[in-house]
Amino acid sequence: MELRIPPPELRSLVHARFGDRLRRAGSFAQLTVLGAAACLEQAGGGGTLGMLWTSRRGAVLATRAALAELRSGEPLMPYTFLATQPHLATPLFAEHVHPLARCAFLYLEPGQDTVLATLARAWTSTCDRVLLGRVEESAAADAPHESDWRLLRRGEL
Amino acid sequence: MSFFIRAAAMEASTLRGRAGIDPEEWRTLPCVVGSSSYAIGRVENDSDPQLAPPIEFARELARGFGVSGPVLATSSACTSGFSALQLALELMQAGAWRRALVLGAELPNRLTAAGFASLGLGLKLGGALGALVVSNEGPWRIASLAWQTDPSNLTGVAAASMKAAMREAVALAGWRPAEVELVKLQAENDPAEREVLASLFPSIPKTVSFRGELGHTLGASGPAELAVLLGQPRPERRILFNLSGFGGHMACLALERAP
Repeated sequence: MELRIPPPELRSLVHARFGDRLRRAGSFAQLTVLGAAACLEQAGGGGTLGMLWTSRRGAVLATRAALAELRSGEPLMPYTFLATQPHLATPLFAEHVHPLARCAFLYLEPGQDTVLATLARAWTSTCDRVLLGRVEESAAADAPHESDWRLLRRGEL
Repeated sequence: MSFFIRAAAMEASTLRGRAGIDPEEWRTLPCVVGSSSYAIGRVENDSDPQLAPPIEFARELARGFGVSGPVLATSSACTSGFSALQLALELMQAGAWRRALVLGAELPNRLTAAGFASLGLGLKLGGALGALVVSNEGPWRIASLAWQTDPSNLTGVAAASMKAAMREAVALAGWRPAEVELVKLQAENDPAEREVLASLFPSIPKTVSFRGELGHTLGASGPAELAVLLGQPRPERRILFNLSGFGGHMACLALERAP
């Protein structure tokens, strides 16, 4: 499942799927939860779930916003700070979509897909399914956000 | 940052010597880095901060230690260092790696300090670089590493999660609670953690905390506090090590002196 979302459309897509429940989350967490939920729903099935996902740049938009708040001299807003932490997508996913038996967020060097596959395979000893994802926020005004996911089941690797 | 790189270069040969790894293998070691803020502390005062991919900071740290194997980086706020440890253990158990360098790194930075202040968390924050060599040999064995997550608690950990993680760590290690000789506390004076200890153990084991000494070093705190704990002679044979962080994550590491 590959989501390509123009930045102005993210808020309405998240609202359509989750109502107000993710309104305070940053765009990185919203993209993560939206993409992972869509993948899980499309794949169907049941059982314990792990979530392993990567990014090259992480929650860069929230980090820029937080640094701008800091430079303005005004107190930093709590949700701006929390949005700088990419892994906080997992408690949101666990609370609003599906419980997680295992989760990890990774920054990887290019070409490290074998490490991901090894980890996912290792996780299937304790998880029936593993959501494997890659999330990148838009890096330019005309570039979409990207949230790519697939669901691996035990024995599939 | 340059201080961290200098510190890494200075400590690398000591660490390699203690781990008994020859220089050739050392150079090929894989490295897993955990941090909550990566290089923010280096750029946050710039007028137009350039946010490089965090993996570049991780690679720079690994090179500082003189290792050039694969580099992974992870982030789970204050438990980042133990997330890195967990990933290294999994890759070793899967047979992908034989040994690994695990780093917890946190540059002091205004952004995190302001973030903690915004949440009303009046903690004394510290910067640290903690380094561990994870191997199948050595004086201490990881008997278990148990995790609990409470998704309803974004900025803390409920006592129930703390208790469940500690109980699981003891059970997975194959110990009885009475065999635990020391507990490294998450916080020095947390009534909830004390209450959990009272409910889990027939008599409360000795406790130790490094918050007063190091401050709260966030993503570095797992490896940094573990290095301080095991870097001095210890009479205990079985130790529990608590670590918690944002996202409701609670980790409990069970350490056993190797026979």
